[in-house]
Amino acid sequence: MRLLIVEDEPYLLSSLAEALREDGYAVDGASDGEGGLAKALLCDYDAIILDVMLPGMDGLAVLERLRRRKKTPVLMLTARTRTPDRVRGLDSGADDYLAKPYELPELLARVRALIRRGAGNATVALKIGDVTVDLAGHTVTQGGEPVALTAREIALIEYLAQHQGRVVTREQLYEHLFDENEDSFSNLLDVHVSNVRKKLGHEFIVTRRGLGYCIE
Amino acid sequence: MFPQTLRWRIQIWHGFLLAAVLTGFAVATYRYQAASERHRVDVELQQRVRVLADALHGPRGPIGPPPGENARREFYLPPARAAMFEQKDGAGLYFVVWRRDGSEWSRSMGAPADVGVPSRPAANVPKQGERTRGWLREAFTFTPPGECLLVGRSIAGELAALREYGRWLAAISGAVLCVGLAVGWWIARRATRPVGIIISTARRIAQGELSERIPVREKNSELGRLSTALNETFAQLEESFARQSRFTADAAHELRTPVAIILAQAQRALTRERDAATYRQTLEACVDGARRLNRLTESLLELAIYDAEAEALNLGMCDLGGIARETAAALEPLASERQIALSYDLSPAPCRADSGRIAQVILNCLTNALDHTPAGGRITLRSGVETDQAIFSISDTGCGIGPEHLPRLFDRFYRADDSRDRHTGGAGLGLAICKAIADAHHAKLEVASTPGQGSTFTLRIPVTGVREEPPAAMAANSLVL
Repeated sequence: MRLLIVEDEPYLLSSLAEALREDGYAVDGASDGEGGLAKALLCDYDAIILDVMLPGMDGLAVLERLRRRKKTPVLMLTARTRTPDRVRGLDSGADDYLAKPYELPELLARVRALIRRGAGNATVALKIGDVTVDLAGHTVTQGGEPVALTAREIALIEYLAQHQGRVVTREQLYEHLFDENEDSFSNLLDVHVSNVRKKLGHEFIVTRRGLGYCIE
Repeated sequence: MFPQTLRWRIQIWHGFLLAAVLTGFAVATYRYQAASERHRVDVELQQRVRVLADALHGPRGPIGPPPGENARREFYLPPARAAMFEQKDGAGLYFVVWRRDGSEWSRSMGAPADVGVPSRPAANVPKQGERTRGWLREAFTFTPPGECLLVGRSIAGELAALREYGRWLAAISGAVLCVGLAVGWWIARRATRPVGIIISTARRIAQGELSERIPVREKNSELGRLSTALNETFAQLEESFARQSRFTADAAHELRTPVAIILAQAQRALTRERDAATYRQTLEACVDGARRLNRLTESLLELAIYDAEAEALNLGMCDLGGIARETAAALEPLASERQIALSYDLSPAPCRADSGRIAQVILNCLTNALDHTPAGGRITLRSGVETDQAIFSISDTGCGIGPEHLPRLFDRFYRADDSRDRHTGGAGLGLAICKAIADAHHAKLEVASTPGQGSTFTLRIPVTGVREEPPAAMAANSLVL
């Protein structure tokens, strides 16, 4: 899952990005409205975390411009917590609203919920044969037994599982699993796919030659 | 007895006035009518008296026995004339004639029995007169020879008509009074209705609907002007409340950001074991956030002090030029490090002020100038006296301030350039504090700027010194923390 954080406070941006990366997300950051909007329009993020108070173009303006083109789920972050501010934020197209200072676990949970709803799933547990993917705990079990996977491998499984039955292209996977700082021409993806197959069986991820990958 | 309302008072005064005017008018009219009626009757009676007199002493003389035996002479009235007094109809004219010695000479048939001789004039001069006895009116004349002729008649009809006229007048006056009172009540209600609107609007405002205003229909009427004045006051109140509420929201926002940093950094570090470098980084971020919190609370506290009490100033005679030189000397190393030239044009500018606070204003302005002037720039400090003001000004050759920012530059938490100031650590309170200090001194802090060429901040302190009472605008802004 790939996220964009638009936040002008460098300490907040770095800590949030690190926390999300540790949770298995690919994270891009932007420190002002213009940069954030450009990235949001360029790339299909799974969710955007958007600060309201930004230098230059503020968060509401970014959201308004983004909504003309894209339906990417947006979580607004703000220190302005009066009801009119929250209403304005939600009405201008935000999917969720979180006040600063926020609790990190809550923010992570809200991001998960946003992505889940964005992908059209109501439940947190997805079943593929005898494999269960727990989107909340970021764990995968096979026949009730937990499977040891890296964060990136879990992200790969989660992304494919949320698009179960559909073919996901390599480009899509690169776009959603790796952030802007990673080399998308590497064979990193093949390494992750092969590792997952070793752990969950070769048939778990099906290769559609020339198209991409699929979980059936 | 009556409600103590303006409307009732207007109504009561109006009622009194109307009643007095109507009564006066009715009485005058009645009396005029009565007098003219009496005059008409009197003229008529005196005509009859002249008829009698003509009969006695007319050009043809008395008709009848010769005048030689005047004393024994019979009073004789020609039948045509006598007929005037013998009418049986309601006019009821009668006459009585007395001789010179007061004995009755003649009387008409209809004359009442109790008609007495009118009082005789002292000298033997002709005398005319009228009198009223009950419902009878009588006119009399003393002839030159001394006889007394009296003609009278009943005026019961006239009196009845007059009474009728009086009743009619009273009825009309009463009706006019009633209509007048009703119209007056309506006018009073119309006149005082805006007062009711003002009251209900003020109540709604008191209940918190600060954007309510009194509708003003007639700008130039007294109530219109009152409403306009009240509306202006309400607008100022609303603006003041809005400013206060904005300030509180801004303060909360500024306080939350460092808290969010500390919380986010610490929570992330605690999710699992980290290496020493990560912990160090986290702690540095936390310290930074805590410092920001501290600076912010200090600034807020400072503002609160100025808002609460202007007398906290430690006033004394001081020289703006001297304070500026000392303050600038402390910043010279920083200026040379940034390759900015400081130049001075400082003349003595004595005034009564709190030198420590003024130094703070100068320091803030100078730091601001240093932050916004590129290397190779120049900052000029000037001081001097102009009429009754001690003046200090500081000009830089920096980037300048856009005209759209100038009106709000001294507002609390206002940042002309958000990104830059945030990273230099300011919360947008430095100039607000300068302004608060200037206000406490009843001084003016002004800014003029040309984008791209530089800005000039000017502090003008009245030489007469500081008045005792704190300015009203500050009390309205007072900050509660």
